[in-house]
Amino acid sequence: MIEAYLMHLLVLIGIYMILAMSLNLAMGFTGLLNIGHVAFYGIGAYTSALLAVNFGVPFWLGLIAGALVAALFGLLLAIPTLKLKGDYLALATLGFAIIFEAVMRNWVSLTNGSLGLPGIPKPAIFGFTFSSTFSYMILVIIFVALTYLFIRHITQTPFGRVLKAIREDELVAKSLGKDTVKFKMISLAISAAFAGIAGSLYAHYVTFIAPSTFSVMESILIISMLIVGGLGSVEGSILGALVLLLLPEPLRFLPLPIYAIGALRQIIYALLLTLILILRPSGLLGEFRFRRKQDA
Amino acid sequence: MLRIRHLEKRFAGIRAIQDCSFDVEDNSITALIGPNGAGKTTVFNLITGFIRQDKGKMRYNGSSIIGMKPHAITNLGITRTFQLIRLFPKLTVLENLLLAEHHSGENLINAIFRPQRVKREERKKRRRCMLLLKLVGIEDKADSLAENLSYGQQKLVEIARVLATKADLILLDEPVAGVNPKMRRHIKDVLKRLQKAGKTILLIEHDMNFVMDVCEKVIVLDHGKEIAVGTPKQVMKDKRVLEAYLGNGSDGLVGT
Repeated sequence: MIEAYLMHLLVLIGIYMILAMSLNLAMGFTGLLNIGHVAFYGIGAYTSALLAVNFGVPFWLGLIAGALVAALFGLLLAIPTLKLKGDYLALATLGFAIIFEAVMRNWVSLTNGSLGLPGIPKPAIFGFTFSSTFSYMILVIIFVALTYLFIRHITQTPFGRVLKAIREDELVAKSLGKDTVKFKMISLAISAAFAGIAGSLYAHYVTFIAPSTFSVMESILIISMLIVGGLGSVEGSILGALVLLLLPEPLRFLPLPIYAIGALRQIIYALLLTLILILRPSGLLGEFRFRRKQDA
Repeated sequence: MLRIRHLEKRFAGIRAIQDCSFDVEDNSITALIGPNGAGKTTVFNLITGFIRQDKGKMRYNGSSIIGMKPHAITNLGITRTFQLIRLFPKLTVLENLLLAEHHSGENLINAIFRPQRVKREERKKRRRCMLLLKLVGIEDKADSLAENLSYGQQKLVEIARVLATKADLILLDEPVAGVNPKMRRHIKDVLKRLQKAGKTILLIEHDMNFVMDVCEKVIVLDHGKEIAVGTPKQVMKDKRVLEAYLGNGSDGLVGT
């Protein structure tokens, strides 16, 4: 019983680790203050779920399609917004997330609206179905590892060096001959693709998705994971997801009414964030924090 | 090397630059001077494509650079520094230099698969950047974060980074502002060495002693127009230059 619960928790934590690591690429490494990350998560989930439910497309294809469609929307979002700086980009991406949720809620013929999309099949490959929580946990852990290796790898290459340079001072990066808009677009697209993968993993695990799963508050949670773990540290994102999701869990075992637990959870998040911002502004493992930059 | 004709730039109706024309000769060290607000930094921003001109022509080695994006102009061989030091603070000194040049590893596909060729290029670039750091005398700081260096050391990193770009035309915005006399001599030596190595330098500087020392040609800018061009000595004696710096009160005295 307790094992099943822990494995379930690990699946969810793994999915959030992928979300946090992918957001870290755009936000922690490239300096793009993206509050709409949850929309890419949702796009991946809906793409993969709709393909599976309506056309019986196998999980693997759906997962890849989810990643590609999310990346495509990342590029689409990049075109009008990447000339915006800091706070303005944050507002534009926030708008994107709100629009996404509204469209999913109102495009009833496609998404079944607020009632959600039930009956998403469990993934199967070569005749093996990931129906047990244990097997799904292994699947998610594999994807967490792949995401970690990929993002850590590219952030350590000359490509990643340019992303960090853009984060530090975009004007100088331009003056050194870097096509900063192109780099920001690629960064956002990769970030979105991995969020799409996380979405697909989520949809096929829970087998039911609804617009409320992808509300803006989820973005805030992912951003909190980044801040706790540290922007610009891939390991930090893993730690942040772990800390933020594990910390409130013991509350379940306290003899408290359900509504009090929800509120207590929020209080714990708020306290934790405040403490981290005061004691370690760059996060547990971070190297960078957002600050106001003077631009010429 | 650089030829500018009738350049004009308006900001909300105010002419920051008007009918400005000058040349920068191959392999020269040229100074751009003028009172505060004369438009010197605006000229730099125009040349490097950070802002668009409203009128006029700019040619670099015979081809027009009007309308080109900053990174494209840099890739043509023009690079600049900024008035205040602008390094990438959270990157190491060596990384700051490595960013100065185009690197095939910056291509995403190369970054993912990292072929031997890219690894070799990285090793080669690291060696070259270490040599540049040695040249300006801070090779022991290669792995320190740029933000942890002293002001003078940061200036040196910035100059080393300009060297690393392999640019032929180097625009320096106040290279010796706020540095001590020893560092100033050091920077002067570095500039002279650059000239010997075939580079062309255009610099903005308020320190007239430094300009007299280093530059063979001076362009004086006032209200967005060049009012005098010549050797430092000629320019210092020019009546219009004195007026621009000191006001035309002396005229009034003579006149009455």
